[in-house]
Amino acid sequence: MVDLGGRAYRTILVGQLRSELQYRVSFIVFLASQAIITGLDMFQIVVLFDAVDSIGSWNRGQVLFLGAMSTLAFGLADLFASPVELLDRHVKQGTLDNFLTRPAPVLSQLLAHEFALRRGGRVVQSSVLLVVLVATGSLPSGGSLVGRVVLAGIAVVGATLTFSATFVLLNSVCFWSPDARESANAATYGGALATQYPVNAFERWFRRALLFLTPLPLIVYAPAIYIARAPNPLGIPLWLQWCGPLVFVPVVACAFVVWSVGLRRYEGAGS
Amino acid sequence: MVMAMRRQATYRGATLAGVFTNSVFGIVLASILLTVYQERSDVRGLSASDAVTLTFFGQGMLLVVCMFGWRELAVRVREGSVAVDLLRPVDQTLYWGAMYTGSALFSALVRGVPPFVIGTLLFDVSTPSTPHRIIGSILTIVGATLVASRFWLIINVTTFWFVGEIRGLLQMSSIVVGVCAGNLLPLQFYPDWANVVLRRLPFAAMQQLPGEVFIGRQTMWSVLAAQAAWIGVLHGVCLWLMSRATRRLVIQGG
Repeated sequence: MVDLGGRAYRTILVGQLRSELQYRVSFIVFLASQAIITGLDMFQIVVLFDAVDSIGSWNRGQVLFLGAMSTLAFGLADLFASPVELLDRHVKQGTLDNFLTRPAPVLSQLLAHEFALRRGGRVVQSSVLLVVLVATGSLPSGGSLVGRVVLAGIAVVGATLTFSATFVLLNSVCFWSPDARESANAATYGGALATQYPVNAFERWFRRALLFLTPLPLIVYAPAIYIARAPNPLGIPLWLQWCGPLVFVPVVACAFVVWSVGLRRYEGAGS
Repeated sequence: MVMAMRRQATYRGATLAGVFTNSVFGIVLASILLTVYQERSDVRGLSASDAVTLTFFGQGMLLVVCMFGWRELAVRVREGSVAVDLLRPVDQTLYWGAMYTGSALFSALVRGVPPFVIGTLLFDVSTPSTPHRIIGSILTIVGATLVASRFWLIINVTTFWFVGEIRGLLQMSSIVVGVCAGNLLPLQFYPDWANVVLRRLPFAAMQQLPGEVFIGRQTMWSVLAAQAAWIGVLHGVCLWLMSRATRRLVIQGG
């Protein structure tokens, strides 16, 4: 069996967590302020609904639910996969060599080594919002409750994996050009922002460009139609709402290949 | 100032990546705002075209208002290397103000203009055409840079007192600037009472007001007057804090 580095990942991760939690106050302050910063996205939705009653015929509760679901998935990916964003620094400083000398996959070492639980602000903020939305009955009832919960679970897991793979795929650009790292933000953070709004509300050319470039909007939007009992003006079929999250399979495979090619290309710092 | 511009110009790959990212964010944000305009034709007097224009204007202003925080002085205070700076025969507030202005104006030009051109190709954007709008935009953008540089300098000078907490303070300031300067959304999208308050704060002078000159909804004189007033007030605070800070400064390790 291929060693994916699960054991090495867990060992390094536990060490990282321990050291991070030594500074309790600093940790809590950072987590809280990150929750507020990332919460600005949801604030933006609320402000826009001050001007209108619906966006793409979705009401406020429905758009907030879509936004929170997308943020939760993106937040989980941000927590576990965005440490790969520090690849550029390791390539520039030559510290990636340290990982290469150890008998575990470089990616899992990097992800564990740079893991920071304090980056979980998005997860906290979106989970709270989801609970509030469900508890206050902001979503219309109807359909099978079990079906809606199961689909929400599948959608969040699928979207998390796809977002994670996107982080790895695009940050691999650093093996070729470490300076170009910021361009990955366009697809990761920009993509996440676009998934917070119902796709049907966008103008047609933008919608097409978006779906042509990335499957991200579909994997959250399509299931959300069913879960939030929202209007479906684009006529997305029910089967796609259930299979959409499976998009992660080709994206993960792609990320894996690009990462491996990039890593093989890496020549080291000569140290 | 020229030094700071040269320093920014050195990283060409990073600049290119930044231009690309700003363009994509501009397109996504503009598309989001347009969803509102499917339901109505104007928001507090702001048309769809105005809103899209302000969005791309805002992408160019990201590094003028320093949405992600400015910490160059704070870093030097923390390291203690500020002691060397203080030995130099230049006024600290002017030195750092010039560094800030140089890199901010450079990024406004290089990282702001290309996304704006891309925006005009994809959306109905209103580009300044009259001399008043063009000159007014340039002057008020410079004014905005000066206001923003004083603001961030004040935040940085507080490092002399709060060495440990500066990270949280910078983050909080970024949030305030993003919301109150109109970078997150044009101020017209906020309720009327918020507009009354926010327009009287220095943050509006950093982006919202120059943006309104850019789209031709404000004359440059009133905006320049507001900016001059804020530069005066903030610079005074800056000088006062700086003189107090340098008196209580203790460098470790001699």
